[in-house]
Amino acid sequence: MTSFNLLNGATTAYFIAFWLLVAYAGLRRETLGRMGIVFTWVGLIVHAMGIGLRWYESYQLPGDVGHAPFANFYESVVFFGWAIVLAFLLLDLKLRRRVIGVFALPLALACMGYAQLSGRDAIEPLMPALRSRWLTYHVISCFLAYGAFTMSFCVSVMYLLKERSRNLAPQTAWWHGFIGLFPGRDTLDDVNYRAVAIGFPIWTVGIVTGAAWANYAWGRYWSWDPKETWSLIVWFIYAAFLHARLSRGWSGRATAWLAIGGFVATLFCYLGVNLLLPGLHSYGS
Amino acid sequence: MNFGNLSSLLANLWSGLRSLKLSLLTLFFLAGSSVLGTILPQKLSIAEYHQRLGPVATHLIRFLQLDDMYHSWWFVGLLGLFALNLAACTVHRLPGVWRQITRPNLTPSDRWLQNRPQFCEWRVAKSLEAMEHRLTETLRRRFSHVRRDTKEGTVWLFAQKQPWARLGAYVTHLAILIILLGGVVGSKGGFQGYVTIVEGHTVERLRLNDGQKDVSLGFGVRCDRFAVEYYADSDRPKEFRSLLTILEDGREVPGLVKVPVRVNHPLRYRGLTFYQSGYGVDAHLFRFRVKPRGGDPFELEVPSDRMVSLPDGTSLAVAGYLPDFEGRGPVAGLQFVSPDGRPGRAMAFYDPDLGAGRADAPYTFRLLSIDQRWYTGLQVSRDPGVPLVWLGCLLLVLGTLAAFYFSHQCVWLQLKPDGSGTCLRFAGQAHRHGESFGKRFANLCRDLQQSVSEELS
Repeated sequence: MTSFNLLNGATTAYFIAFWLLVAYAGLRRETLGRMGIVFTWVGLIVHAMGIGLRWYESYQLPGDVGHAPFANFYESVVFFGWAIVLAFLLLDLKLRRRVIGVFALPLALACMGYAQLSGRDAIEPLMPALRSRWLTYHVISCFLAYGAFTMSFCVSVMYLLKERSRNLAPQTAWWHGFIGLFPGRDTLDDVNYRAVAIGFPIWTVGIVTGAAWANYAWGRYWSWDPKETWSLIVWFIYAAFLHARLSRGWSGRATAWLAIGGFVATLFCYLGVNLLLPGLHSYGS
Repeated sequence: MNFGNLSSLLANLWSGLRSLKLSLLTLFFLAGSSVLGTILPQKLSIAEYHQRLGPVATHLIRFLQLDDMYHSWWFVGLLGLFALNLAACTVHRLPGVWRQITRPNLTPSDRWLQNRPQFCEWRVAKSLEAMEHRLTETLRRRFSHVRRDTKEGTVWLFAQKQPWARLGAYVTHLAILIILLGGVVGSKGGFQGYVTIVEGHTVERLRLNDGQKDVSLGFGVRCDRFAVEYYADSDRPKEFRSLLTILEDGREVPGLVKVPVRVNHPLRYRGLTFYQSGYGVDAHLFRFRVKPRGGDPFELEVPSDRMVSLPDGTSLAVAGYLPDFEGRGPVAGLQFVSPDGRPGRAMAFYDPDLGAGRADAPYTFRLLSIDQRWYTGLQVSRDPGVPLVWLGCLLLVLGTLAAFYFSHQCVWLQLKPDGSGTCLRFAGQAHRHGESFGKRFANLCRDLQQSVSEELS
């Protein structure tokens, strides 16, 4: 059993879970929803085992290449997927609204699919700049925050769908039932805020650990590298979100759109910077 | 100008400066303009912008200093406005919040209590004195400290939890100001430079990154050795390592001799930090076995960039080399000038079977090895702002955690004698997570009701 097999297993579990939840959303049978969640949990555990095993495997390779599995694009996108599922399941423990999985699991599946299509699953030795214990702290905090921001995105989309279907009168019974599974608009709005409020301090830790590491490796804690700048842009957007919401009373559609904007910036920070812009994080591509 | 106008102008300016609208605007502007700086290539020469983007755009770039946008007058101005806004907002709001947590309203009015987000009231046919102790104990189980006040026969109990969470937002604001201050201190009192040191050499001066200025280090740094370590069976570098020695007045400083400096492991000395950041080949070192005609052979090392003298006064230099000669190892071409001024040439092969030159040549050479002499590239910085930045970062993390992960919760219980019984008003508020506080409040309310009804039964 290799980590690659385990990660494939996790992807399969998420795939089955997703379709179970879609069936649950369509047929509204409780059992289907419960099974979907069970498969998601199984996937999360197998996924974690896969990441752990990959960590262990790297130490078994000759030539002292052992390192935490957060070093290249394959490893980071696998961890992104895990963070999304973790965030979804924690939210599910709180809310017990399985239908959120119909929105969250495709994102996790996209991560896993992207990882497998990238075809670069070999464990690579670390370049000298990455040989630092900051790697682990920096990456874990950034991706946990990504997970929280992804949840904020999912509930914002659900909020906007629910809001829109309320304003449009004629609907099919299926759509009506589907929307009926969503939590109430107030709950969606509150979860949106809570997800950002949980993610924001973690994201702050991610930026701070990145700056600390940069200071050790390059002699500058901040050099306006595109990745650094985009992480700050994300921080600015969510800071604006929190102020608008807490102190100016924005809510509902306004904060939902702001959260979607924040998530687009987050995705650009993660993917776009590496694919489109040059910079210090280029090894991540 | 009229004094009244001036003061109203100042008041307007102040209220504008501390307004949340300005906070949101600066946040959005900072985010938006930061995007621009990541898209437009930074720090190119004006000629390059001209070639890529044309004259109009170049004009705009020069005016708005977009070639170094993050240090342009308007971006720095935006950051300054952001800092002013944070400071003004903090100065405006902190005193009130501080009062609320240190001197909470212990005897609020009935109406004020009713307007709290959580509120319940009930009547118990029992005297106030008979219940107060029981109620205080019930509150104390959830809140460690319960305060009591009384006025005209009415008793108020007050308890709060995590009041410091209210300060989280202001600690965060202060942290940002400290980080910005650290950045200013660093840019005014610090510098960045780059230095290359050839193995075996010492440098005492440093070239700064901005401009052509050289500064004296005040001490010497010698590179004893540079090495690249590779992962086993791979051409991927694992580590770049320089062994550096610090020299004061030409003497080695004890404890700072042959200090290994690696990526992620810099060397600090007298406020300067040396970071491993580049390397290269300075020269090749050729080792030869030299056999004078009719004499005993000896070994000789010749760097590629220098002439070396032989014992009889012949000077020798390496003219060139091939790393591999027809599969039989490397070969070097030598030029020499004999003591009487006659130039000559010779070949030195690695393979002992290959030709040793003419029989009447004064020397025959055999190439033993070719080594590289490296130079190391070190990023050098002095940044007195770094401790401030780390302090700010620590406060930033603590502040955001306090602001969003914790909640300042307050409850008031008012006991007012009402005929033979007592009227109880219980109110609560939390500055975060109102929904979960609502559930806890409802439980607490039930506990309070039970604690006094038990006493009746």
